[in-house]
Amino acid sequence: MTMAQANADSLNLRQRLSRFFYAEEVPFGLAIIRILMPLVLLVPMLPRWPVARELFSSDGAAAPLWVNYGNLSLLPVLPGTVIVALHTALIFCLIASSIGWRTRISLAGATILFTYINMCDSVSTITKYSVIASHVLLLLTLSNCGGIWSVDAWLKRRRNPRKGGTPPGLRVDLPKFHSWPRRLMQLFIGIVYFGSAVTKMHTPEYFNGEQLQTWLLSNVNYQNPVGEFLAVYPAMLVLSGYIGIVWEVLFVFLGWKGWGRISMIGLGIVFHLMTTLMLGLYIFPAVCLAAYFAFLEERDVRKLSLLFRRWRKKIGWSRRSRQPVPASAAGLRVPPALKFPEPALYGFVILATVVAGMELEHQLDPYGIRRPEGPYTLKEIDPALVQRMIAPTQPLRVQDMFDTFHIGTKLVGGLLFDHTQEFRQGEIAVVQVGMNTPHHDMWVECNLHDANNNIIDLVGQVVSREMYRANFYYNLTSALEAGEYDLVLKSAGQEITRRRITLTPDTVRPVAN
Amino acid sequence: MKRWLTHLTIVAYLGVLSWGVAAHAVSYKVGAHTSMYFIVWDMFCGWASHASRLQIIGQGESGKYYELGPGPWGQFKPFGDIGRRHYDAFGVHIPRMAINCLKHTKHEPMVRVYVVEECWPKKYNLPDRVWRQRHNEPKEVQHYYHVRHIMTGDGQLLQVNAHWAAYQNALCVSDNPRLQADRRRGQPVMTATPRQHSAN
Repeated sequence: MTMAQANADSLNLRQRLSRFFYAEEVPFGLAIIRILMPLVLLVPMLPRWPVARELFSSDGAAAPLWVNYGNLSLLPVLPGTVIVALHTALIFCLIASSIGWRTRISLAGATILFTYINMCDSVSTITKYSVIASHVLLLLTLSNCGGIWSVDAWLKRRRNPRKGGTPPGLRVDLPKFHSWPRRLMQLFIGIVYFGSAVTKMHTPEYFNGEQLQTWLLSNVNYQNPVGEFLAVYPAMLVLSGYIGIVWEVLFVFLGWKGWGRISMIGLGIVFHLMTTLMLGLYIFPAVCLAAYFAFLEERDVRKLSLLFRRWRKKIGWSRRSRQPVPASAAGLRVPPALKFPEPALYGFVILATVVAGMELEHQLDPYGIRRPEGPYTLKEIDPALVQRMIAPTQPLRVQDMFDTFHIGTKLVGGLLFDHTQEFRQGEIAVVQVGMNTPHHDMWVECNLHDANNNIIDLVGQVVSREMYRANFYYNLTSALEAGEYDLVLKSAGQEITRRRITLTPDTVRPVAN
Repeated sequence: MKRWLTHLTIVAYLGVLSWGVAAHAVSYKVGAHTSMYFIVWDMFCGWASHASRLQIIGQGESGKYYELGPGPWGQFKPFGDIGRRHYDAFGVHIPRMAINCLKHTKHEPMVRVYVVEECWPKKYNLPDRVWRQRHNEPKEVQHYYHVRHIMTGDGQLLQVNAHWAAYQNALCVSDNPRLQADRRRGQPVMTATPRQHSAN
């Protein structure tokens, strides 16, 4: 047992908690999140700026979140021009937060504006990644993440230069703060995953692959070709689903140190990258991966820094040591008469940005109201198409109640694990029919036909309306001649589809006694 | 004092997060207030086997039909290739989108505004090459249409219908003579014979 372990064991709960939340550290992880998160959030918020009037204001078609919850007067829906001003201010605050200029004010502004503006559009802006980002921005606001790698830190160093400077390579002067904001962010991430696991536990269709399969086929996000390909392998989806939920439950318990941290974070990175490939999500994984830097400890950065210095030395690349400011540069200093106090400069820049944004949006004229030819006219639609659209709802076609029709030999977790169309005499063929919900209580047949389409065997079963799958089993005994057969799926007297299978002779012959 | 404020912040924040998870776990008041959206993590709560899109149609006094969604100034596509209106799964906000389009365009007076849901099975979303690998039958998509809302030209709701999947589900459930007979038995009935009454 090491001395550190012995000391740790002798601490009581209060001391442990105190050390957990109030240890002093350089906020490396939070500074990286502060730089990355606003940049990530600019990706969805910048394209929304030209349409802010339509999406978020009373001069458009705002879709306030509070209306969905029945809290009709919780917050006001503001006029178009005000929303444009606020959205412009949000973009400014996100950029200022990222570079760390007036960090706390910028982050506070970003938190409030981002949350409010997102809440004004529950249809196409606020999602759970927005909520995660709001939490992260709030915790960054409470932290001292602007203490390093920021304009604020640079200005502070300029105002209070260290006598003699800092020895190159040794950042001993970096400020230290309590770790509680970072700890809260770590706990927050773990709790989000745990809550997400609870949702899955409430969803039986998650465990039979049904919902994952339909999710992969949903074209409501960006392109997801890998997801579309994997959608036809539901057994694999169930396996990934189980791995996913176990990881989500364990994250908050194991993600703190050692191999637990490495495996949980590693699985998290894989999980989020797979959501990009399989579901076409981009911002959600970027938000989560940026927040993962909360798990970056000060000692990790020190180790990485050491490794980097060694590598630099090995390849013979050295950074030029800091040179004193040349005398000529002193001449570039701003004359005292033109100097603004920094808070006033910040206020002036944000005001100028907002005014410029409002003017630009006015010029863009998003509804085309001020066009020389006047407002837009409406586009006519073919009356025949409209009559089809507003006619009484059509009943479902029988074939649309069926989804998949797969043949194999093995079932794992109720799902067909292998797909094959070649069988040997003596094998059992498993036919799995996937159903689309909603569907009626149905009589479904899966009949065996020979190559000349003569019916060899009739097999039917009731598929009740809550069933997602129906299985048919065929014992392909040696009573069936080797050759080609068709498995024909029928319902309500209608053939839905058919698959050809090939039966080969059993090569193992019985041995005479 | 500062230390105590920090204690309070930590306890309050973790308390709120824990409340969200606990409420969600036992399904207690998860929709009680807007703030619950910020502490309940239901990222995987419902994916249907049918794709759904929403179309907005206006009928002018002349009898002509007009497209009210997207607006003629173009549409915003928030997460991919489809326009904003298609993400209003519950159809709560789409009437406002129709009115916004009318408000900012030049048009004849409208007598009716229709919000129509268009659905098809998601299996038809498979790319053609994957479809050919997995299906023998041709890819013949049937689009189903279902009127969700009917409004007057100034946005007053005249008719609101359940979404297409709920409607189809109701059809499946009600397609049961025994169930229908039970339901009729459970309903109070008042017999009236207006013809006889008027004759008297």
